[in-house]
Amino acid sequence: MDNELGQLIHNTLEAESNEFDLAARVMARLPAPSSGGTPRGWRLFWVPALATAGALALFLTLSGHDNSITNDCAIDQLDVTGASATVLKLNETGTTVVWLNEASEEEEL
Amino acid sequence: MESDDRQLVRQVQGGDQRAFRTLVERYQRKVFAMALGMLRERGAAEDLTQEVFLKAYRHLGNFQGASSFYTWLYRITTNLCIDQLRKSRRFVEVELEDQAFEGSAEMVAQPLGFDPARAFADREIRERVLRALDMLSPNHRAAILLREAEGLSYEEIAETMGCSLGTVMSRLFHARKRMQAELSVLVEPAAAEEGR
Repeated sequence: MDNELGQLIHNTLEAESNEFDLAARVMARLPAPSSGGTPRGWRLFWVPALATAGALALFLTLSGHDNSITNDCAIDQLDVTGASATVLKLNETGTTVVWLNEASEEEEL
Repeated sequence: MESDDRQLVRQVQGGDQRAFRTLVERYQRKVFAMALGMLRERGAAEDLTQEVFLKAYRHLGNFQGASSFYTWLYRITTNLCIDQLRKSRRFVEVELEDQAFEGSAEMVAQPLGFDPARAFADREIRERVLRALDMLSPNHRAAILLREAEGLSYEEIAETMGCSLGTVMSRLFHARKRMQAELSVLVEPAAAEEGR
């Protein structure tokens, strides 16, 4: 602060904001903390990975097949942007499963 | 303070909401002061302050620490205020002076003619100051508030507002000039009072 005008602006806003306190209101509006405070990068990896494994297990259980899955698929072309893809082949039926997990787009500041 | 902020930010990134509360308590009055200076209405400034912290919390996972936490927070505040002013269309945007400024931002820092400490006790003076701020364009208003209310350096203002140092100096020069013209009306009553 190097001038009277600056001091006047500073003093005005300091006087107006002196009693201001909304910490409790902000905290009440935060989303619930994630379990154990897992870092974001690990969440990005494990959540899709577990979802893929779960879906696959469910698929195999419901379709009644044994462990006849391989990853030796013949893939002509696979373009994936902003997502991870898992490609598996079920040998008994010859079905190829392509599983995509799309990452959510980050909001601009 | 800055290294302490970084430590708190790391704790929040690890899921510690108490650390975020500490950051809110540390900066809420500064963010509110900025919002009030920009928007003039207390209710709108309160709502915006909440929005700033909620947005900061949502994006803190992406905060890499390239800038200090408070300049990052002021950037969110400034952007939200300017967006809100643009939506409400409460101003005429005239900033032709921003270009090619090579003078000194301090060149019109003249004495006001009365004691700035009077603002603490006199609500009328504070209302006049807020009204004078309201006469500035959003970018000029943000620049002078970041400098005078928040005490940021020219470099930090440039970083916060995403503009060059020359633009910051130009905005400050014109904002101060306009503010002094708007507030000159305060000098006469003060001088009259002193003459009694």
